[in-house]
Amino acid sequence: MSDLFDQFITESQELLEEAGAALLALERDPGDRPSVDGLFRAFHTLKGASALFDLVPFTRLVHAGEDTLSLLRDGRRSMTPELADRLFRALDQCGRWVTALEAGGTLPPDAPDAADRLLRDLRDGEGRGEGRQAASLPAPPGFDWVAALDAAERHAAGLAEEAAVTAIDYAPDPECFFTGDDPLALFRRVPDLRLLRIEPVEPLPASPAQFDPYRCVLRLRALSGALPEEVVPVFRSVPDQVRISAVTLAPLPPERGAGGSASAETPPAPASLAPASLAEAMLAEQARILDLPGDAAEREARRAVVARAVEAILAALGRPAERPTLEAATTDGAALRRFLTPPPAGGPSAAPAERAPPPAAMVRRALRVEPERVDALMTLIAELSVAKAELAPLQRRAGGGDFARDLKAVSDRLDGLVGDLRHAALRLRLLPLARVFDPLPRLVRDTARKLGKTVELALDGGETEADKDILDVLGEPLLHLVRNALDHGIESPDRRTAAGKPSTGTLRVRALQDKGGVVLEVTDDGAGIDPAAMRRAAAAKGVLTPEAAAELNDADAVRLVFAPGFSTAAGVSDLSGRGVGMDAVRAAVERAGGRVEIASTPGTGTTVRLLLPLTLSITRVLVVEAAGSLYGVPVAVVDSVQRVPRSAVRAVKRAESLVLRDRVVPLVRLRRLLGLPEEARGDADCVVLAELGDAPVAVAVDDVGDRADVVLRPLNGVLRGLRGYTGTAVLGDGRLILVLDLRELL
Amino acid sequence: MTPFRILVVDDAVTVRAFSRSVLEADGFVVDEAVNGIEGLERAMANPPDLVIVDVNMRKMDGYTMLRVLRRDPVLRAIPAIMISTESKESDREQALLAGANWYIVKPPRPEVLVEAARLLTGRPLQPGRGEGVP
Repeated sequence: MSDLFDQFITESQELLEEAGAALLALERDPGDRPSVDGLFRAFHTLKGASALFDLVPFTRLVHAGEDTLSLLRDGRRSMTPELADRLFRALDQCGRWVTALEAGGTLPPDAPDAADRLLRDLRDGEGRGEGRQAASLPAPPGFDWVAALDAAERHAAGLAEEAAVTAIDYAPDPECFFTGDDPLALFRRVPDLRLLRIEPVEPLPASPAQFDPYRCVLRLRALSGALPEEVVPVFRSVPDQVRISAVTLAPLPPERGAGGSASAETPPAPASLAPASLAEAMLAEQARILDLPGDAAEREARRAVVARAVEAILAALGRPAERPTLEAATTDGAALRRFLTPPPAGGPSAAPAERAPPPAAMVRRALRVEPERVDALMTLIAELSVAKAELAPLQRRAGGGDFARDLKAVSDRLDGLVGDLRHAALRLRLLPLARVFDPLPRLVRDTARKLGKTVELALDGGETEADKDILDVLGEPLLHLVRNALDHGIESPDRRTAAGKPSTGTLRVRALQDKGGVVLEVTDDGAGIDPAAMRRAAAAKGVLTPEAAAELNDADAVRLVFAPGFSTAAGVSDLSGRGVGMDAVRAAVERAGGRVEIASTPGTGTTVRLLLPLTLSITRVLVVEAAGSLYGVPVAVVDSVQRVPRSAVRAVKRAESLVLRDRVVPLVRLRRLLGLPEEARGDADCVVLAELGDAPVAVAVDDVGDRADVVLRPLNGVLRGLRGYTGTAVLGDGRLILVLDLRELL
Repeated sequence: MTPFRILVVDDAVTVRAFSRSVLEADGFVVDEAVNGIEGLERAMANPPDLVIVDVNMRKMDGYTMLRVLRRDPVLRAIPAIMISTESKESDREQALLAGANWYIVKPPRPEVLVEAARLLTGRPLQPGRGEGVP
């Protein structure tokens, strides 16, 4: 795919994000002018950019969005939650299209229908005829002939009623036949051609002998029922000879003679190229200032000050200009730009149509790297750390003496460098958590609106960085948590008022870095979770026996929301608690080697914390042995390693347990878990104490080795789907281990 | 030749002192004000060749000051630089909408401030700095 197309994708994603944020701000404060302008600009830029790629439905939809925004901007339509919904739907659709374009390079086949639907949707809210107020605007220069069409022509074209059409004015280069252009053939390709007029540019010679058939002396004018962006591509080869404009025809009967009028697009500010100097940047800015919206007095004042500023800048540069020339050049931005960069002599005399700008110069500070390349680098570095680890056994074999000492020095230095390298490479993959925050304002807005609640969202720590893998893991659970907090945590405004709280609830999402990991906290000031209700529900659902439930302390009772099978929507909504998908949240976080904490005070609110490692690509495992084979246990779940005398192990039938730190901990034997032959045991067991969610488990193994950083490889081929293992890994000395998924094994 | 006069409006004394020292070192005459109201008073009493104004100030902010300035028949054509800690495009646009000709993100580099001041007052740039612009 071309670079330009990639840039279009990136720019579109950014614009859609900006537009979403602006729309949220605008809904909150309908008078927020910068947001209206920002949203308008986003639609406008998307329109211009998408038109470069023949994405007609896309262009039509964003054009309609732009129209809606300009009505809004002129106060001819007002912002309502319904209109926000409509605009959000349009933005969402564009987002899906961009995703499809990124994946496959084309719009889905239903795109034209979807565009039609959303176009109608956007226009539905317009007052009768409101949207066509543009009809009172004068026709753009050069299109007076449209207004002058007589009734017969209008009827013949099927345009007797008020209609938005696209007018085309094509004055082919007299030499066009030699450059391969075929004017008439171009018009055959115009969609929905309603009217075509062909006139001589100059009076035709009286005698055929004087007529030069190799010169094109015609001017072609036409009307099309299609949108300008559908027509523009047809004339792509002759942009300097054609003018195309949206024109609105007034209905015929009432106003004969007054005819049609037209709405032209505001000429867009051309994309500014990177200025070579401060002076050039400043001059470009002066042109931009002239195009800013404002009332007559403001614009007049801007003209005055811009004229003076330009005069000063040119004087400073040693290129003084006459005052009257400057006054004339500062009527608008385009005039100033022309004045500052005179066109090359001998250009085409026909002024080219004002068209949508090319996508703004897409200069980014960030270097964009494909994720696969970073992954490849990470794999290499992981292999390097594995290779480096092979030095340790060599060192042991070298014994004492100078050689061993030198080897150790080299090894230490290598350790340091590999560590630094890994750190640097890991940083490449780090992205700010703001990414997972991005969908939240919209989610909170939509959900709160649906639930009839008012909620203020506070985001904090978006600059905290974590590995892309971790962000991918975090996204879904975070959405779950936020949805839950809105649904079950924060109360309706009247209930909040009754409880003496502000009617607007607050939802705080905070990210921070902590002990080599990331912490994500979702706090609401809602109803909180009642531990007593949780105990009752647990007993009623059979998750716990009534006795066991009664024994739970408050914190453990609240933790029940994470118990699998506990949380069904019905059961928990009644408690004003939470629970939908909370076990799924926990599972996702734990799969990534993290854990979940919850704290809740009835009446005050709930905080859920997700604690995750910084990266998934390198896993630290504890190497254990069973029946002569090596296995890895992720260090994240290992609490401690102990030797336990046989006498401390109690056996009831085949179930064994032991008491550790005043808790009864079930003991399982790895050999038995894996179906390996069991042996007569000595007088002590080597036990790995694992923390799996709520309850610790002691796993007896034959022996415990070192901790090692490994690159986990998922199980492939015949091993794929084998339960109980997260993957394989190669140790520093080249031996292969299977990494255990204890949760699945138990 | 009368030296060019610049009015620096900022509520932070450090910023004013910084601007004054940098601009005076380059031969400008510098006047100061601590907020928009005082800035307008100074400008009316002694119209400067350039105004450099901060955004956030008590009593009257920079936006308001520029809007008032642009409505004054005598002062409206005085070029203005807005200077702010915000680097967002929306803030820049906000400044231009209010009436600024240029926008500088704080803290400004001395040479940038001087060059901008020279450009907007029409003082020839020194050789070797910004020269050779087509």
